[in-house]
Parts: sequence; C-alpha cells; structure tokens
Amino acid sequence: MALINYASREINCKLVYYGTGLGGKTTNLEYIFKQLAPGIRGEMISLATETERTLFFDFLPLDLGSVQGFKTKFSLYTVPGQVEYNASRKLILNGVDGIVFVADSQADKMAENIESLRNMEENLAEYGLTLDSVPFVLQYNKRDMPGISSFEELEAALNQRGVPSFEAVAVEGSGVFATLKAISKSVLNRLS
Amino acid sequence: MLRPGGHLVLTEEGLRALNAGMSDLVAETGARAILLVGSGGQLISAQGETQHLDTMSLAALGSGSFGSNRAIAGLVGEEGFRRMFQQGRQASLYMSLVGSGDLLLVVFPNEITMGKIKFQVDQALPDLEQALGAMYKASPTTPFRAAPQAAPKIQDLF
Repeated sequence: MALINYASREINCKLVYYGTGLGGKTTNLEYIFKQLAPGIRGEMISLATETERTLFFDFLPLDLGSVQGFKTKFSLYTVPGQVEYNASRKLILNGVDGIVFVADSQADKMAENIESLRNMEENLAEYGLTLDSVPFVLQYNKRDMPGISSFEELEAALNQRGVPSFEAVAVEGSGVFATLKAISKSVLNRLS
Repeated sequence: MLRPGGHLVLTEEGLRALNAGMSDLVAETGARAILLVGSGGQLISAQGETQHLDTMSLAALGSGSFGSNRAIAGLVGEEGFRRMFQQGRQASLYMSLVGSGDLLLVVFPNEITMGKIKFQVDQALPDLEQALGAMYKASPTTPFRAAPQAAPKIQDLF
C-alpha cells in the first residue's frame, strides 16, 4: 500500500527483500546503508538473533528527495529466510509495494530458491496479491561463489515471468544498487 | 477497507480531520505523542511531541509488534487482539487497532493511567475511522501520474 500525502506532497512505499535463509537479503540492506549519505537514509534496525540471523525483520528508511514535486520515501524491509519463520514473513508482506527476490546462486540451493519463491506466492495470496499485481525483480546473489548455477539455469527455474533480473555479489556491493533502482522505478511506475 | 494492492491517498481535508482528532486526543490524555500507522507500517500522521522521536522507525516496529501479537491471538483461538499495552519505567505504549488493519500508537508518561488512555482512545476511534475510511474509499488506483518522469532522478540518486 503506497501512502500518498497530497497535503504535504509525500509518497511512502514499502519494498520487501524476500528469499532463502543466508541468501544475502540483510547484506543488501547493510551495503545500501553503508554507501548512502545519512541525509538519504535513516538508521537501519535489525531484529536479529545472537548469531546475526534475521529473527523478525530488518528495516531501512530511504528518503529519495523530491520526485516531480513529491518528497519520495521508501521503507526497505527484509524477511527472515529460515523456513520456520513463515508467520513473520507473511506479516512483513502486509502492505508491500514492491519485492526483490534474492536468490542464492549456489547450485545446491536451487531447490530452496524454488521453494522460497513458491512460499512467497502463497503468502502474497493471503493479501489477495499475485506476482503479476506487485512489482517484482530478481537478484541472483553470490555470483563469486564456487559451484553456482548459470544465469540461464537460474532464469529458467525462477524467472518465468521475465521480470528484470540482476547478478550480484552483495557483500561487495556488485548489483545491489542496480537491483534497488529497478524495483524503485517499477514501484513508482505502478502508481501512474 | 483497502482493496488488495490498493493505495491510500491522504487529502488535505481528510488529513485535517485526522490531525484534529489526534491533536484533541493528545490534549485530553496528556500523551507525549500519538502516531497513526498504516497496516504495512507506514506512518500516516503523528501529533504531539514528535520532534525528538524517530517516528518512521517507531511506526515500522510498532506495526510489526502489533501484527505479531494479532497472529499470536489466532494461535490461542482469538479472532485478533485489538489492543496492546507495554509498560516502561518512565514511558509506556498503548496500541489500538483502527478499522480493520491500521494502528493508533500512543506514547505516554507513567503518571497517566492506562485506563484513561484506553477510555479516551475508544472515544476518539469512531471519528478517526470515519475520516480514514473516507480517504481509503476515495483513493484512486493511479494516484501519481508523474511517476514515469522520476526514472532519471532515481538513476542519478544511487
């Protein structure tokens, strides 16, 4: 649910990073946090376990400044990827305006990626949404790891809708902003 | 009620009604601040002493906390908890559902009783729900026509 305030000329959209456990969702937000000036981003909040695994969600507010006379703000969230935290994932999707699905490129993670994508569609359905009604992009992360699936294999398995997809090494920042730009544009275009 | 994938457009008139109701509530209860938060965690409006509060983070965390408690309600056979209270040493939080999914979050000092907050919030809710409901109903599906022109700005930003 995008919030458009005509009185103060402000837009607020919610972006969710979804995907398997240890796939790099939090790493994406951490890189964005580190790279952007404090005037553009707020404080990052992580509700994580003692071992740094996301327990509930990470939250990072971004202020993109004025876009066509409207102050534009994005709230970035991650979900906990671990299978047992589905109730939390479902909650975070409430009011979502755009989704980045972060897939782990390692070949032995393919089945988990497919299951996570299926799980996301199931959770979206709880809010009456589908991947055709919500702006959605894919990020193939961990391209620097050994034993990864090829780009074509990932596309064939995960990108049946032909949405924008990006190769990334989130820990180094490669592909992180390309992904964020694509979902930001897609979300704003959906409002027009 | 918001349709799936719908948006909320806050109009000047509607927001004035919401702000007036929330401002009265601050005055009547002595609360420090009152936030109205959308079901997805977005801050709709804030009244009171908000200048030293990180209202966006408070909205996101309050919404997550309230949402998880509503899910807990389902697990114990309740239809859904409508209110939540957290007591601190100096300040406390009271949260109440507005309509079917939005949230009113009240930050108040401990000199004020929770009963007073609950009573005053319950009194104010019908007017707030009416003002918010009217804006949900009137929100267009394409509320930001100039959006495509934003692409170059985003390209330059990151």
